[in-house]
Parts: sequence; structure tokens; C-alpha cells
Amino acid sequence: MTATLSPTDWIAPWRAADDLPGRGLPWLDAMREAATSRFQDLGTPRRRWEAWRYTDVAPIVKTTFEPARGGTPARGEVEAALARLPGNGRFHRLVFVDGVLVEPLSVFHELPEGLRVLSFSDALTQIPELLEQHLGKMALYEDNPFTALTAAFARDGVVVHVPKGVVVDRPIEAIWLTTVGAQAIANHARNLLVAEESSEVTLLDVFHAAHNGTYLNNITTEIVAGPNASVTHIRIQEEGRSAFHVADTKIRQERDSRVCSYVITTGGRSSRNELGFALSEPGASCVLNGLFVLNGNQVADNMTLVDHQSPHCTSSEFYKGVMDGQSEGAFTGRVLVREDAQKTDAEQNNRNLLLSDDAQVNTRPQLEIYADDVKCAHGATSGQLDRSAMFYLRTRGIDEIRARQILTRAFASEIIGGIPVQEVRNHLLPVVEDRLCPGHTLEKTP
Amino acid sequence: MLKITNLHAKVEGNQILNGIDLELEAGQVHALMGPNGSGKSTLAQVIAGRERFEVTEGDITLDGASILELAPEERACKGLFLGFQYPVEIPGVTNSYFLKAALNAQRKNRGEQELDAMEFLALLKEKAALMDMDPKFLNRSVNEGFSGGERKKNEILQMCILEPRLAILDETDSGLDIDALKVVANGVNTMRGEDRAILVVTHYQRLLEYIVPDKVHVLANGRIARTGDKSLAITLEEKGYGWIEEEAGSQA
Repeated sequence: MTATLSPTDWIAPWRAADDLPGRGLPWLDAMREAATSRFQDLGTPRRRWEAWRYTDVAPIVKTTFEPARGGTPARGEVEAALARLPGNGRFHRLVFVDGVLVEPLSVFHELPEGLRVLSFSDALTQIPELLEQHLGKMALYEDNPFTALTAAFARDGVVVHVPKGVVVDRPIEAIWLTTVGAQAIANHARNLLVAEESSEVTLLDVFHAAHNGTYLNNITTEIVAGPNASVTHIRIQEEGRSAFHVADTKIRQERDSRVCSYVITTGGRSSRNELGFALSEPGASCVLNGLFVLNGNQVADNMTLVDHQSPHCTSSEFYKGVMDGQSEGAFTGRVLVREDAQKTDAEQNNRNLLLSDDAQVNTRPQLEIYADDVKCAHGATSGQLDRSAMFYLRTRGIDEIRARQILTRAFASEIIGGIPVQEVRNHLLPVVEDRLCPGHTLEKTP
Repeated sequence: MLKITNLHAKVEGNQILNGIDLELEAGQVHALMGPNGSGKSTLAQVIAGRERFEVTEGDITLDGASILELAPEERACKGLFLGFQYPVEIPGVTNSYFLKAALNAQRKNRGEQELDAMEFLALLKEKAALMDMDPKFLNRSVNEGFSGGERKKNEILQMCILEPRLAILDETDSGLDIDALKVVANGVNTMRGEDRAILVVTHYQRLLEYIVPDKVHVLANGRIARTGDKSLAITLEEKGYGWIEEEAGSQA
């Protein structure tokens, strides 16, 4: 840790790097240059910026990072971590260690014809036209310094192209492992998923560290759902306890497409999940579900936007937070219904559970409605465990700690239970319980 | 088994119980009756250990030892059961999970072997059949979306599974149609036994046609105003609670 560096000094190690992939692609060189200069103009975010008010950004920008350049960890260390993560054996799996794909650890089952699953650096060589067409079109860097960093300095990421009509039956899982090093590293990465007409695909991003060192994962993900396509995106953020995590996920939906997003946050010292949907054509529908489970001094900020640009689109959003210790959670849910978006059906719900007197949550529903024939509902609650329910359980002989656990798990399981991939549900319940009450995992629900 | 002596209790500054004396022996069923607001539910919850009620004077003993300092779960493990007037909904926790957790917590506390999933399921099915409960309720969240009658049956089901030595049933009959009332009463009657005491708290005399009590206590203004046999309940049915309240008022 040092005093805050100037934006230019903060990114100096990246500007000096001459080994980024895709050098010489004119459109990419131009984007990198523009994004670098934009970052220098913007500077690092401040809490007084409205969009960053609840992100604990100060400790991030005070840290001096080295660029993540991949790692070759001890085999046992990685294997132990991989075995614990969902989809072991069944999913297509890409394993990134310290920001760079490690092919020997990755698993590709037989892929449907035409499906491309590549690392960002390979995609720049093999399908640069797809990247040129889509990169930076949804996640704009003009107002977001961290997105500018991934535009300028991304080294790797996952790129998926699902051709028309292709149904990918196994989820595609990108695992991001960070190993311990002498110096704090920052990984600026870029994901792109393009699902063409009537295709179906599930993408998981799993962030995991088996240590408590300081590092930053800064991940920008762009998703295009073509006409009638069906996309499921699951983010599982289990970073180490001193880690920083910044995510910007932007999704554009075309006619009649369906996209479900699940964002689960249990890790990290300070994290931010920005998620934006543009429902750009009629008949598109989306689900945004999220759960953040925090304790100790964790801070997690969830910034969501659903932009209803077209008629007959539906959005359904449900975020839950559980805060213990001195943790701070935040949820901002902006729903924008534009003038043309008649017959919009939008609902939003945020419920928070505070388990200690020092925990905090900030919830901000923001509905802006410019069309007149729409259905929009929202609700937000924050409170403690229901005292009557606690008493009820205890009169049956269940002790106070266990009763708290049962009720808290029930609260969290509503979101986890809605995730459509069984391996993910099975993985998450014990992880969440361990965060709620370390060392006291409950037996499985029948 | 249960002995309540000069019990005074208040909630948020309001004195509700003003010196209750009540004794219940093993093998007996007592009815506790009284008008609305007389303190019946407060007494039931104070016995079970609800924290929001403050006991200001007097004592409650179980088998001769005071339970006032015990947590609700400790009282439960000593064999106390409270059937709730308004059973609580617990979304996300299935009925069978809840009951198994409760039963095994009590067994563990008493140094008994915990039941495994198979043993527990067999027990649960047997008791659910006794209560005429559709097995689908066992896998639904506790009391969530249950009708009033289903909730009350669920309370008695819990009692049948946990097999308490002392059961306090707080207005378990309120809001039940006659068929549900018979099922509930049958459940209670199968639990009668020489090692067990039951206190039935009720507003209506009708329940006592199906569960015949050994004694009837009438509560008014936070005190036991009258104690008698089952004929007292019939008198109350004919004359209402007014005369008891007047009597209690003139004594105060």
C-alpha cells in the first residue's frame, strides 16, 4: 500500500507492456489508445460520483498493482480448488490462472458444430471480425474507468460464439483462479458471448482464490442475445478475503430473446457488480437474480439497470442481501421504461437481512417511466430475523444459533433454489452457509 | 408437574398477569378459559419463555425446579410444548426438515440417539395419517399457504412427534370447523396419558365436548377467578363471562 497514485502512474506497468494480444489490429489499437486516454481523463472513481457512491473504491486505488500475466501454480493447489467448484467433469471448462487461460487444466467435451469457445487472445487471432463487430459496443468505457481499463489492457477472457439454432447442452464454465504472489496483481479481462438466433447457452463465471492475498479482478462481460436466443449467465464470486472485484456486465437483447442472470457474491474485501440490460427489440424478457452474503468488513455494491427500449418486453429482478459483522451491502435497481416501450412488464424486489447491529445496507430502487401503458412493480425491505419465527423454532427445542442458521439459510435459498443448474445449487448452499456461520454447515435439506 | 405461583408479568409496561396460581399434575388435562384480553395467551407464552414478556413476580416450576431462567429451547428439551394460537410461517424451511431438526435437537439434548432420515420419515408418516394430513404438507414450507385448519393440525402433529410431557395448547380450536376440530381433539386425546399433562387454553366451550378436562380454570384480569370441574365450562357457556369479570372486578 502507498498513497494514491495518479491515474497515469497507476497504469504505468500496463502502458509499458508490449505483449498484449492482438497488437496490430487497427480497430483494437485505436480502441486501446482511446480507452487509455479516457482513463487518464476520468481518473479513478470517487465516492462522490453518484454511480460509485456505495463502492468501496478507495482501498483499490491506493494499491499498487502489477499486471496479471498468468501463473503456473503447484498442481495440487489448483486441483484441490477445481474439485470444489461446480460442474467438475460435466461442464465445458476454461481455467484461467492469474488472468491467463491454462489449456492443460481446461476441459472441452465434444462441442456442437460451429460453436466456438476460445480465450480472448486466441479469439483475436481466429475470429477477430466477431470481436471487431461487438467489442465495446455494449459495455461503454466513456463513463466507467474500470471498463476503460479492460478496453485498454485486456489480456485474456472467454469468448463464446453460438451459431444460429445451436443448443449447447452442457454449461460453459470459466474459472478464474488467483494464486498468491509477492506482488498484488490486477487482472483486466474481457468476456464476450454472442448467441445467434434461436440458440441456447449457459455461461458460468466463477472467481475463486484459495488464499487471502490482495489482488484485483476487473472483468468486463458483453453478451448479445440474438432473436429468440436463450442465454443464462451465472456469476459466482468467491474471491479471497482481501481481494477486490469489479465487474461490468452489459447485455443486449434482440427480439423475443430470453436472458437470465444470477449474481452470487460471497467473497472479496470490496466488490462491485454492475449489470445492465438493454431490451432493444420487442418481446425480449430478462431475469436478474442476485444474492450477496457478507460478513466481517466486506463491502459489496450491486448496480443494476434494465433499459426497456421496446414494447412488450418483461423484466423480473430479485436481489437479496445478508449482512453480518460490520459489512456493508448496497443494491441500486434502476428500471428505465422509454417512451416507446409500451406494454412493458417490469418487476423488482430487493430484500435484505441484517444479522448484526453494525451491518449496513443501502437499497435504492430507481424507476423512470416514460411510457403510459405499462406494469411496473417494486419493493424493498431491510430487517432482522423474524422474532416470532425465532421463538417458534426455539419452542420446538432448536437452539438459538441453529434457529438463526435455519432462518438465514431459508432466506438465501430462495435465490439459490431458482438457479437452473443443479451442480451450481449444490455448490452454493454449503458455501453460503459457511459464510453465514463458519464451521457449522447444516445437513442437507431433504 | 407444573406449578405456577403468584405469577406477575408485563409487556411494554402493561401489567397483564396479576398473580396467577395454577397447579397441573401428570395425567391431568386442565382447561384454561377466559374472555378476550384476560391474559390466556400471555400466560401460555410466558410459560414457553417468550422474551418480550417480563416476569415481575412469582415463579413457574417444572418438576419442582424453576424454569424462569431457561431459554425456550431448554424448556422444550425438558418436555414443554406450546401449540401456537397463530402458528408462524417459515418460508424456505420444509415442515419435515423443521420437525426432524426439532426432534433430533431434543433427543440429542436428552442423550438419546438421533433418528436417521428413514426412521424419521416412518414416524412422520404415521403421525400425519393420525392427523388426517396430506403428506404433501410435509414437504411444503412450514405453515406457508396453509389454511387455518391445516395450521392447527400441524401444531398437533408437532406435538405428536415431539411427545412432550407438558403440552400447552393455545386456542388450538379457534377458527376450526367441526371436522377439523374432531381431528385435533382426537390427536390431543391420543396423547393423554398418566405421564403427561395438558393445558388446553380455549375461548369456546365446544372443544371441551371432545376433550373432557379434569379441571376448568377461568382467567379474568390476569388472575384465576374460578376453578371448577367441567360443569364450570357449561355454566360459562350459559351465562357468558360477564359475571366472572364482575366478580373479579369487585374483588380487586
